[in-house]
Order: sequence, then structure tokens, then C-alpha cells
Amino acid sequence: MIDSSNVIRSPQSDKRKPDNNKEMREIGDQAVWTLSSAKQGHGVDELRDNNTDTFWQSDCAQPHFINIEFQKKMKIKAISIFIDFKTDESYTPSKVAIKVGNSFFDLQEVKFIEFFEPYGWYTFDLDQVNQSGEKIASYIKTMCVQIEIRENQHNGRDTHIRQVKVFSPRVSTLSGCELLPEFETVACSQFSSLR
Amino acid sequence: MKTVLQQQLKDAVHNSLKNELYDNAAFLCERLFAEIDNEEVRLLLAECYDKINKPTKAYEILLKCQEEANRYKLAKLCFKLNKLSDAEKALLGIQSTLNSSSLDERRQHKSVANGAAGYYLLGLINAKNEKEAKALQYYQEALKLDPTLWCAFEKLVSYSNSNLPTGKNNITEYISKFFPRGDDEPSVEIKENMKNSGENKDQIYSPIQEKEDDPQDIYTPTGNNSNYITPTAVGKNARRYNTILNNAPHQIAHESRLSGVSPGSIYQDKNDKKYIGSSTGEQVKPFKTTTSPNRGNISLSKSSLSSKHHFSRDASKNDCGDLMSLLSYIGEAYLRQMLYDCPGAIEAYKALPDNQYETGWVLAQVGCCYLDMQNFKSCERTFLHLRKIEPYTVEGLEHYSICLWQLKKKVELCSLSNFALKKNTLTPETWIIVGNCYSLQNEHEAAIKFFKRAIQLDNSCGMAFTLLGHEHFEVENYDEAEKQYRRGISVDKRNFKAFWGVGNIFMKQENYKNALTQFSMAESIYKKSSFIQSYIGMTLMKLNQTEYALERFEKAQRLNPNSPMNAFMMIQALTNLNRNEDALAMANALINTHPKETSLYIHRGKLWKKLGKKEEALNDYNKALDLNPKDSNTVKNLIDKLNTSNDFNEDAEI
Repeated sequence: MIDSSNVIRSPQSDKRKPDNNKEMREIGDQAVWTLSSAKQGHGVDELRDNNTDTFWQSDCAQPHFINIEFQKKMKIKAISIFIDFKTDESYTPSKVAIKVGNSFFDLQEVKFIEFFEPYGWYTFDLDQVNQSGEKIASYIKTMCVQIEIRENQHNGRDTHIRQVKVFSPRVSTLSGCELLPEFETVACSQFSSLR
Repeated sequence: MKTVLQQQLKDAVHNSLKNELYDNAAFLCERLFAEIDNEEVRLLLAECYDKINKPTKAYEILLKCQEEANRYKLAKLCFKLNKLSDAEKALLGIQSTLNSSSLDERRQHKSVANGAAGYYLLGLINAKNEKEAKALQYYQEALKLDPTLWCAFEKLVSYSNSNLPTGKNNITEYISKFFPRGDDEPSVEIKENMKNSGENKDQIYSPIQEKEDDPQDIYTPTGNNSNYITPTAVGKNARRYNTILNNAPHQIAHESRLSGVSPGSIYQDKNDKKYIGSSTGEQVKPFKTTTSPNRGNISLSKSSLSSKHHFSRDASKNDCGDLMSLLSYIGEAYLRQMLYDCPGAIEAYKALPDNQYETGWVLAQVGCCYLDMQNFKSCERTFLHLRKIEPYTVEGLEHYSICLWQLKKKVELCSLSNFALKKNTLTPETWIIVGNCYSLQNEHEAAIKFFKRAIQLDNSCGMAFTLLGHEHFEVENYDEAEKQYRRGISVDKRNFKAFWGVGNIFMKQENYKNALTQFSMAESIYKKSSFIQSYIGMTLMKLNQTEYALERFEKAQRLNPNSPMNAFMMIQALTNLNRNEDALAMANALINTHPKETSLYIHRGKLWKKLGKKEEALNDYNKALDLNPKDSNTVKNLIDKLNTSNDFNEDAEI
């Protein structure tokens, strides 16, 4: 169900490029990426090459899809995309939906974003909420993620997306046992792991 | 019937080889081969081809040769080319498979090419073929024939448990089998001094008399073995001195001053058991037992004499006058290290003469022992010392990188990586160091890449596999992690860290029974590891055997009283058994030692709550909030629950 909190209008772009850090790590390499259509030379590789100069260009009617499928249920913390109105103009998406599910026939929309002349990286955190709207976890466990581009700026037909990243929460437990807390001071943590 | 041409060519080839002009040597040798085809020339030609990196050519040349030296060279080439069965046949002198009946074997044993070296190579071949028993047999043969083959000894003691001696006397026996000294008294007396102390009490008042005996004894060589003459009596005297010293320290100090003994310059710090010239960096003359007995033997400062340490090492270093005694002392230390008797190993290494101790290899081994004992400060100190002494060495520094990783010293580890990369990029140690550096920066994918490089360079490096396993575990690739740990185990059967790794994965998958099996295997290798005991305790707690778990935690505490992880687990166990006051006492002690650790306050808060002391609990939770304002949700939830519920176990999951 589309909740009002899941609808984002004119989001702020990220101040810095989202990357692996203490809280999250990129897991896109563990997934199979499919596109609804692509022009020659502007396909999945260009979408995932860590280079914002290359881009994916779709080649059919709207809506366009980016399908990301993992082999098993993964914890997805955030999705980041890089889009650039200044260069792409009417190719830049304006309405994007993020859906998750266990298969591509069973997707549920979790985020809907409306852009207005966007430029830069945009990261969207996915949270798991229960029926009363309370946040249970700051990630969603799922096998499939779909990014749907419904409309482009200035009613363009095809879309350009320059980069997409999928992030998983970083669980830094060197111990298989949850009885152990994660010590912060080195004096304690040095004895807590065997290397 | 050598012609002039042949002789000239031969000399020219030898000359080129000596000057390392291998292409030239190969060319000239081919001319010689055209002149005359005999075993000697074939060997020379094979050498040349080997040196110019054409081992297959060399192999073809040597194929039908019979001479020992040729067969040995052929075997070496086969080993390089991974033709293991050919290598074995060459070494044993088997012409074809038809000849290898058991009757011939005895005959063939005599003709193993190049004797000891051949046996060693046979050992390596059988080890690669996973024929462990045969490999061990061959290594032992090699050592028997030539006790200077340290490499065979190293391989011998790195095998599985069942082969190695246990108990102190067995160790010395084992060593003396391979490195026979003329003096066959043990070098390291852990408790023998205790035995001797009873007999020697009468001798306390007569040290001067003892000294007078010396001039006759010291200079009589009494070696049994004609090849290795060691001054027996010296060792014995040193020991007698030391038993006296250990029993009546003040007496001796007094006596020695009376007798006008010049103040020696040997002393040690009671607490750290440091030695001269080693970690403290003090420059002192090394102790020599062969010098005049009236000087320097028992001049020790009082503080060292009152040390409870009963090693004869307190007052003297081992006299390594000849190779066998040096190898036996090093061998004993290395054996102890392999048996994971870390304190014993460190003592044994420190007993080496100073000039031998202050070398890269020895210091690296000592550092490694400290690392296994989880004494990271001493480990770091030792390695810093190593780097001062041998600033060009990279081998051994991989253990240092692990130490720095544990201490989370990013800057030092980065600079160490840069140093290693500059020195040598073709050695696995460098890539292990670099991998650890990236792992510390949380770049696990990169670390995986670098550990894989280390494995490419040396696929018998158990440490690299284990580290790779850890990295995969960090990125939650548990299947891959398990695979790498198991490879680590297959390559090095005494790799207790890899066993721990597999157990850790089982724990993560909540498969506690299997986890326990793995940890027990790790324990059987390294019995005195406090870390493994803690983990066994944790598994037992998960299996709801809290009493047994507590026993393990107590054992771990005895082995390493400094481990907060263990103290924390013990508190948990005590709480589960409802021994709340004991748990609280431990928690207080732990917080006193580590006042900045948030999780400890959180846990103590929960304890207070269980005891019904809500105010103290609130204090601790607030302290936790102060220390770590980021993770406030959990603590705020706890504070809310303080007032609402009384169930301790509810909070236990956090």
C-alpha cells in the first residue's frame, strides 16, 4: 500500500557520493540486473560501471524497469541513483517508484518519488514497517527490487539513468554468537576476536 | 680421455656459472654436450637450463641418468614441474614400476639420491600426495642422516598432534633425538630446579667452593659424539649455581660481594621478565659461562633474584658453542611454539645467546607467540624491535599486521603495508599485510582480493586461507568462508584459527553441536587458549548447560585474566544461574578497568534492575547514553522498560 510517508516529492540530493561505510555496504554485485529495454551501448554495464559519465538509455514505451534479483533474501537498507537533469534534460526521470517482493509478479510498492530537475545522487532508505506504521527495522528483507520509471521530465519517452547502487546494512559481528556485545574501545575489542 | 676442447669448454662453463652468466653457460654447455655425452655433462647442462628457467628441457636431459647427483637434480626438477611420481622414482632409483617390490625397497633405501637431502625431498613429495605417515618417516630419516636439515625439523613438527611429544621431559628427549648435544642434560628446566632445590640447600653456604671447582671442569671437553664436542661440565655448573641462587637469593648476593665478584651487568625486571639487550634495548655484555668462574656468574641485582621464576635462564643464557647445541635450543623453542606452549617457547627463545636472539627470524617467532597469547603490547614491542634490527625484512611482519589489526592502529598498518609493497610484491607476506590493512578500513572486498593474491603466491599458506575466511565471514558469505577455512585446515592441520572459524560459522547458523565439535578440535591443538575456552563456554550457554559454561569461563579467566570478553560472558553466566551478587561484583570490577565501554554500563544496568535497584540502573543507563549518544534507541527503550516491566530476560536480547 502506498503510505503517505513513502511518497517523496523533490528530494534533496546527497551531499556526498554514497559508498561503503560503517553502516552499509554495496551488494549490487550479488544480484542479476535486468532492464526493460536498452539502446545499444547503453545497457546494464553502463548502469553499473561506477562511472557517472556513462548511462543507461531505455528504448521502448513507458514505464521502464530496472529489475534487481538476488539469489536469496537480502537485507536492503537503501537504494541510490544518480540522475542529471542538466545533461539529460527530458531523459531525466520525474516519477520513480521502488517496489520490492519475492518475485517479479509479487511486488509491493514501498517508495514513490517525484523529482523536479534533479542533479546528483539520491539515496532512499528502505524501512520495514508493521501494520500500525511503526518502524521495525531500518532495512527490508527481500529477493527482488524493481525500480520503475513512470514519467520523465518534460514528458520525454526514454530515460537516462547514470548509476544505481543497492546497499545492505553492515553487520559487523566477528562473532557468530549474539551473546557478545560489540565492544567500542580497543582495549575490549582486541580480546574479542581471533584473527 | 678428455680432449683439450672438452676441458676448455668445461672450465668456461664453470666460469660462466660462477659469474651468473647463465645464457652464456648454457650455450657453451651445449657445445660441450655435442662433444661428449656423459652423466657429468648432462648434469651441468641441466643446471644451466634450470638457471635460464627452462626446467622442462633440463628434465628431458636428465631423464635416463643413473648417477646420484643427476637423479637428485631430476627429482628437484620434477617436483618443480609437479611430476611427483617421477620425482619419487628418480630419488628412489626405481627404473620402472616393475622393480618396486618390497625386497627392492630396502636396497633402494640405501640408494636414495643425495642421502639426507633426498629423504627431505621425498618427505615433501609424500606430503604433497597427502601420504602423511610416509612423509614423517622420510623427514625423520633425513634428520637422522643430517641433523643440520632444519627444514625437515620444521616440517616434522608442524604436522598433526599425534606425532608430537607432550610433557616437559618428552620434549627434551624428542629434541635430543634429532639434535644430539654432547651435553644431554635438558636446557630448559622448568620444574627440575624445584626437585634439585631440596638437595642443594646444604650447598647454600659454599658458593665460593663451587667456584674453585670450575677451572678444572670448564675446559674439559666431554662430548660423546666425535663430531660435536660440547663442554658438558660448564652446563652442569651453570645449573648448580642457579639452583643455589633460586633458593637463597640474598645469601648469594652477599657472598658474591664478599668474594669480590665484579658487578655483572645482567639484570631483569621482575615483572616483565625482560632480558638484556632485547625488548628493553639496554646494551649489556652477553653472559659467557666459559670465562673465568670468579667473574660475572652470579652478580645479579636483588630484584631479579627474588623473582619467582625458576628457570635456569634467570642467571645464564645457553651456551651455544657449536651448531648442534644451537639447533637443539632453537629446536626446543620452536617445538614449544608449535605445541602452543607460548610462555615456554618465549622463555626458550630468550635463552638463546643475544646475538642469535637479535635476529629477524627469532624475534618474529617470539612476536608470534605473544600474539597467540593475546599479549598484543609485548607483541608490538617485539616487532618494533625486529624492524629496528632488520629494517629490510618483510617475512614475519604478517603477524605484526595481525597485531596492529587487533589494536586497530590504522596509521601504523598503512605505513607497514606501504613498506612491504616497496620491498617486495612477490611474497605472500606483503599481500597478507595489505589485506589486513584494507580489512581494518572496512574494505572487505578489496581485502579478499589481496588475500587471494597471497594464496596465488603460496598455496600452502594456512594463514592466508584463514584470513580470507574471516573476510568472507564479515561480508556474510558463509559458504565461501567455510570453504576457505577448510582449505586452510587441509593445508595446515594445526591451524586452530581455521577450526575456530568453522565453529563460528556454525554458531552463526545456530548449529551449536557442530560448533562445539569444531571448538573442541581447536582446543585440542591449543589447550591453553583462553579465547577458545570462552567460545566453548558460549556454545555451552547456548546449549543451556550454564554450569559447564561457567567452568569454561573460569578456566579462560585463569588463562587470561585480562580478557573483557571472557569477563562479560562470565557475568552473563552468573546472572543466568541467579548468582546476582557475584555477577555484580565482576561487573563492578570490569567497569573499573574499562570505564569507557558503553555495553558494560548497559549490562550492569540490567543487572541492577534484576536486583531491584532501579535508581542505580537508571544511573548506568544514563552513563551509557552519555558515552554513546548515537545508539540511543536501545538505551531509551531500556529506560522505559525500567518502570514498566520486571522481566530481566526481556532485555537480554539487546
